[in-house]
Amino acid sequence: MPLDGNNNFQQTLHPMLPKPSLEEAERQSFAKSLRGYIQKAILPDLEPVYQARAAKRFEKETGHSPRDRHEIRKTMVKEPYFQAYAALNRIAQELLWLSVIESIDRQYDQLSATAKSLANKVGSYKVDRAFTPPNYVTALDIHCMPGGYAQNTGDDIEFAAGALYDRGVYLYSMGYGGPFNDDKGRSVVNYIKRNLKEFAPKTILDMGCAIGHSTLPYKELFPDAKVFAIDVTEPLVTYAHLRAAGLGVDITYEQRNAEDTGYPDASFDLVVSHILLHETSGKALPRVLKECHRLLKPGGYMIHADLPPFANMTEFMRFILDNETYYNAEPFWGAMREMNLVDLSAKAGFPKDKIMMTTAPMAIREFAGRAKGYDSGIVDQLAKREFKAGEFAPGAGWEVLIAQKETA
Amino acid sequence: MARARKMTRVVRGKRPMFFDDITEDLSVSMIMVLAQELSVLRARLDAVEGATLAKGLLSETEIAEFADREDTLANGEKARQDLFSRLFYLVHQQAAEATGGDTSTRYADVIADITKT
Ligand SMILES: C[S@@+](CC[C@H](N)C(=O)[O-])C[C@H]1O[C@@H](n2cnc3c(N)ncnc32)[C@H](O)[C@@H]1O
Repeated sequence: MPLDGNNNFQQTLHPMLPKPSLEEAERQSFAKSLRGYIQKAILPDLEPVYQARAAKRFEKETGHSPRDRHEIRKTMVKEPYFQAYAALNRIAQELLWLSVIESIDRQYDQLSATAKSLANKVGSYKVDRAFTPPNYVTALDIHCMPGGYAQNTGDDIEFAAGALYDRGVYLYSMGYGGPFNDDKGRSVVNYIKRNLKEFAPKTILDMGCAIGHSTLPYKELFPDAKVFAIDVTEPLVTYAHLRAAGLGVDITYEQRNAEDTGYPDASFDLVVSHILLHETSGKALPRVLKECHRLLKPGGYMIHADLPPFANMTEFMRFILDNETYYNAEPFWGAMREMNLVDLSAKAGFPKDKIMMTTAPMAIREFAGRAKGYDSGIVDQLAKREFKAGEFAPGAGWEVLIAQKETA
Repeated sequence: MARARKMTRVVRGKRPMFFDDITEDLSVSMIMVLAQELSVLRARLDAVEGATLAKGLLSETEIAEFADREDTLANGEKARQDLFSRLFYLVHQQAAEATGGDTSTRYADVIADITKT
């Protein structure tokens, strides 16, 4: 039964996922539902309030209406309704992470023992304690995850930051990504299967895989392919491996930098990433594209799923989206959306007529009936809804950059 | 026994404050934690009541299992969304006033007007 936009989507457990107690589960649901409420009931009035009050005030003070997202911000930060929205949004984010940290700390020893029993059981992983993650990953705790992607808890098998990410991101995305939070990977694979029919990659690389949410669908839907996935921090790569091992999926996870992976030229048929680019930097992003070109075999494809660019958006939408830059420790979020990824791909060596930006439809409908809470009525409502800037995930799909390397 | 506090709770990246007075930011964060705990209490009670009705006899696992049932989860989600709409009544009032042009000037005008007419 549809619940007026409410959802009680539940993440599917696997051996490495911290299992919340009744109280922890409720604290986590509270944070997830609070996000849902803010997006459903507080966000929609921001623009009307802006038009009715903040824009007029700005005009009175300066003699002109706000010209860009920065001027909109200037006046909105003084608007009590916006203050309440932004404060609640930030607090929801803080409560979300804290509610998961609590749960991991309580089960730490048990999870650590599970990690030992799962390591190298299925697939493999390689980490290197001498490896330094790039500054843009460690300078701030991205999306306010306490300790960041590289937090070290001093364990032989560093898993904790990965566990925090696994559960936290599921709550952050309010379950829209499905019971395994694999919607982004699934959407891109679906896109390939529907639009690049002849293409059957045998070697696949997933860059910036975090804990492998998006990686697993590649192995599921291309079972004969050898799937590699890389990230820059030890706990993420380690946990990604443990999670896949617990789920019985054969992936090779390695701690490597997407700017300079160290793999030989022409190693892969397909190189993908999912919400990696907006967490890199102005200098790193073009390097990642160049590296993709180098790594691809002739005729191979590079596909990056990320956030829609600012072009073709209203200034107010840009302002809303840019909140993440300022209030959620996403330093490259706004700047990345101003970059022209098509031009940069051409500069990276891809033939101009083989580059495009398009939408890979969300796979949300496929989750109906697959796990607790994924009721077909609610899933349907979600798939059909109109997207508002500031909501999690676009309604229609993921923005993808696709480029094919020249054939030999 | 669980190890206490293996993981940090502190976020690196200066936390922005949103209200004109920092004490407001602090208060709202505390109020939200209290609201969260209220929600925890409600969840616990729901589970106990539900299990009592359904089983008659209680055990710790029975209660936990009951809380994890799909209908309990759905009721919990509805209860939380209802709580939020009560919790943020004033936030919504602000939006309605801003878009409806209901200002203190209008209020004063009404007083003046009513006094006069
Ligand atoms: C938002 S997460 C990606 C989520 C993941 N791809 C998924 O779909 O679930 C971004 C990841 O990119 C990683 N990252 C950032 N810069 C990188 C680089 N130069 N090389 C490899 N990984 C990088 C970060 O460590 C982080 O784990």
